[in-house]
Amino acid sequence: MKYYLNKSKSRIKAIFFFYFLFIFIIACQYFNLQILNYEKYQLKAGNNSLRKIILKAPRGIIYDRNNKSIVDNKSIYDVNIISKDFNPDSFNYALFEEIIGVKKNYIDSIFLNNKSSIYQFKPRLIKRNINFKKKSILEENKLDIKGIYFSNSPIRTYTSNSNLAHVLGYLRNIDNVIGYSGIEKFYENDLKGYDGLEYHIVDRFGIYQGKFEDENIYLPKQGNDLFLTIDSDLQLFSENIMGDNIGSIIVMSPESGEILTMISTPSYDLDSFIGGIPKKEWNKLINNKNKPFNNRAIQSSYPPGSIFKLILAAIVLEEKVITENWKINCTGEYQFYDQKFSCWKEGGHGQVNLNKAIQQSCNIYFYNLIQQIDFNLWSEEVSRFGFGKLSGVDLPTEKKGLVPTRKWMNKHFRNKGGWSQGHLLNLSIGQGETMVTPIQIINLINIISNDGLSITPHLNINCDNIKKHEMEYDKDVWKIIKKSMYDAVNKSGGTAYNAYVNNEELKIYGKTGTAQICSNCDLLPHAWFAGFMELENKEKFSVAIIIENGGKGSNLPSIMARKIFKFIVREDV
Amino acid sequence: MFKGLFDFRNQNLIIKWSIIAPVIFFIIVGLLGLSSTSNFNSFISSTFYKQLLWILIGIIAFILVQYVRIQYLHDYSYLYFILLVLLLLCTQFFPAIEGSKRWLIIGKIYIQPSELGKILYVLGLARFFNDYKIKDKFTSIYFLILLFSLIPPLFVFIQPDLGTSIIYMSLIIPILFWSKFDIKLIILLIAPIISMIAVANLFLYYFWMISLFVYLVIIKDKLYVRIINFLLNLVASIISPFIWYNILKEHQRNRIETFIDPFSDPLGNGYQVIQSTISIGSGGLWGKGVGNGTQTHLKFLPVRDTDFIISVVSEEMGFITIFFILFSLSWLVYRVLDYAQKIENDYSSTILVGLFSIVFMHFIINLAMISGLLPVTGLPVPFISYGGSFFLTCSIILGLINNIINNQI
Repeated sequence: MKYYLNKSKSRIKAIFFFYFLFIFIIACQYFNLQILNYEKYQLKAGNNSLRKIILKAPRGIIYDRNNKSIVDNKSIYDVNIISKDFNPDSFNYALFEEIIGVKKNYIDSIFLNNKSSIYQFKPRLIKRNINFKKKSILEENKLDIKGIYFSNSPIRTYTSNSNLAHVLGYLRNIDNVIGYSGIEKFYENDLKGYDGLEYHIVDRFGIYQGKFEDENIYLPKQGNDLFLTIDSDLQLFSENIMGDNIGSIIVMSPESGEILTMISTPSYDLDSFIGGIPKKEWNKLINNKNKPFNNRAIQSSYPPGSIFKLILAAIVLEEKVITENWKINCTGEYQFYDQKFSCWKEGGHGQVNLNKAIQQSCNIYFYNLIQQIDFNLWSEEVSRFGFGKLSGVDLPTEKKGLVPTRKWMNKHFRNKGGWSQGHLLNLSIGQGETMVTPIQIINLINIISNDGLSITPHLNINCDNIKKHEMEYDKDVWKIIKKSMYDAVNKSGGTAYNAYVNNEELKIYGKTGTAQICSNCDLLPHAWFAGFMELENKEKFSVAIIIENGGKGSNLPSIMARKIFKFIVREDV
Repeated sequence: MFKGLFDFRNQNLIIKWSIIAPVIFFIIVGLLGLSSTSNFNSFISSTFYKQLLWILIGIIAFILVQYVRIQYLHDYSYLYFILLVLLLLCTQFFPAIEGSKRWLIIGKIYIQPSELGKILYVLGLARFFNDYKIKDKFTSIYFLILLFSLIPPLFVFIQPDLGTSIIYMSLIIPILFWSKFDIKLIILLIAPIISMIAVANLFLYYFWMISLFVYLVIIKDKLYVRIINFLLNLVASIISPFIWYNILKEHQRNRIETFIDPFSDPLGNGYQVIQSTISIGSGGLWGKGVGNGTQTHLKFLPVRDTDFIISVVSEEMGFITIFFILFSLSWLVYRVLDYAQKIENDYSSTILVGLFSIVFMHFIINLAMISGLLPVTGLPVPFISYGGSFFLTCSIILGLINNIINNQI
């Protein structure tokens, strides 16, 4: 036996036997399927076939803080034609054109192109996005328009009067409809839900013949609802007072980190994205030099202007470099080696202490102050106030801005002849290389109003990524800074006087900024206002406003801030 | 390392048409299938045009392989085997794509070592089994080389790529057999696998274990070897349920369960098999004509370009085409194995059988899977399925077969 099998001849026979046996078994199976059971399978292929149908899950609904829905879902219908079922002789073209405005030649061209070939079974899109009413009319006349099929998909509808485009963000259809910016993107996983699955019985032409009833049907699961911190009334009001100005407004509750209002202008209309934005409109938006897609509140960085004086004041007080009574004499000009720096007020402020320096925003005072501390200390403390890093707001693609450090300055000015102390003077008043975003500015105001406590700003009321962080400055530091901000609004001569509201029950604190964007040019500076309001019951609201090329911070943004404060306390504006 | 791989002076480019003609038939059938499933909107999205390009590349590879010295392959085959193991190991350190780690990713180039690795595996295995001279006794070295042979399929299995892993393992027996190992050793090698499967049915299990016992009593070998063998089968059948419940993933279990009864879950795992058999059955003798398959075009069939291309072919071109495919395959079996027994060099003869078995096993396993004879796992059909690197591998295999036949007889 062993001897026999070791001979090559027998081995080849064995291997032939097995290999041919395999082939034979396969042949039998195919013969069985294709010849013996041909009729059975032909019937199966012809009659009942099951097709997987994805049932799109509606996205979660988005509400504002008062449980008013601001983003909802509705269905749109697409009109499709299946050439196989279409009959040009009996088709009611007139009705079709009347209801949805598609002309005869267009339908015919699609029909003719797909008449032969396999595509005759496939639904071809002829009109997107018709409403329920039109669909109902067409369905009543089903027999006149044979070959027409409707498919539906859930789309977004925006129920709030406020625009909110940058907060909410738009959806795009990339294989699947997904949130592409704003909250819709950030909370995509929560909002999208789970698509369902069902099986349709279709005939051999792929035409729907009813649902396949089975226990394994997976119903679509709508996405989770989202409750925003946005107050849509305040948002709408703020949008109105912003008007055509370019810039951003943020209103927050400093103690909770909730964002009540967030505006970035110019904006765009979310409605135009429903069911796909027309190419023309998209190009118009994309090519707009004012960049409407940019969410200025978190993505645009500006020089902070005089608002930054608050930080320098806080640093020197905390480090006990000076007391609040430290004085300088402002003559309106300041000679620093061979460079001449000037105060914004011609003729100067005269004798200035810290309170007056903040209240009237005296540059010279801060030119002197910055020289009292080390540059490294300044950079470190500024970044501890949240500058040069992300605020952590629950929106995608936030920008960091920039806080210059010694290292950065060395690198940046290496090929520009180096940098000098003169640059630091500029930094002290928020000019020069420092770049901040509006959300970072309001974060600073929150820290001051909370006596050092900073809370991650957020838009989702149930946001689970809120970090608290305490700046452990002396309580007196905050007191002094707040007093000065209060005086800037409430005392005559204060730069933020335009934000003053004549109401005993509330206290308003503020600081303006006028950020030069170039020397020797015609462009107006960017105008800042940042401040907060304290009600009698200790409830607080912080506001940050920037108007690009808005001129002086003491004008336009301060006036806007006043209107917002008044609106919050339900006073007539 | 590559010095001497090619010899352009002494090797000749002779094409054995008796081997090549059936393959050309396969390629034409594949192109007809693809012409039906492919879209022709653009070159990039057209599997048909891309396949044409791959055929061209395959022809170049085929011609190049004619100048390979088989002696060189023999000399370095251990090295290749180690290289294969290392490459398969490396795939574990690259990111997973669709859940499996099969690729080495260098920039935009994706290399699947298990693909060309089939050839390296055959080269290594053939050398192992031919260099080892004791072919009628159980020795520890016999188990050791078997253990080595299982490393590559194991690595492929954990990628995970069940289909390719099965192909690797299906090559062990033919190569072992053709290397003149005693039939007893081979039967006792397969026995534990049968034990593992048989345990699913108690009656079958008793029947099998008694038969095994009788066989072990009859054969002539040391007593302890026979006892160990029997115990091995016992252990295999005991750990089988453990593997079933703990090692196999749920989808793999489901596949096997639906294979046993596809209609138990007609919409889930059974869906593919049912739709595939409907496609095949409804094709009839003559088929519905290229481009007219309703199953194919209404997308009832999954992965139509690759794993289920034969379902498309069956539906549109009928049993007659399947018959010719199987006939061509039989012709290849006959021709190639006939040449194999004429080759005097044991190593060349063994790799000829091994290489051909790669192609053969792909055919058999795929055809069996899509018609419901085996559980479904992803495997393409040589020369018919769309797919670049697989087509290239098959061309190189065919090239080596042609080369060996020309130069070793």
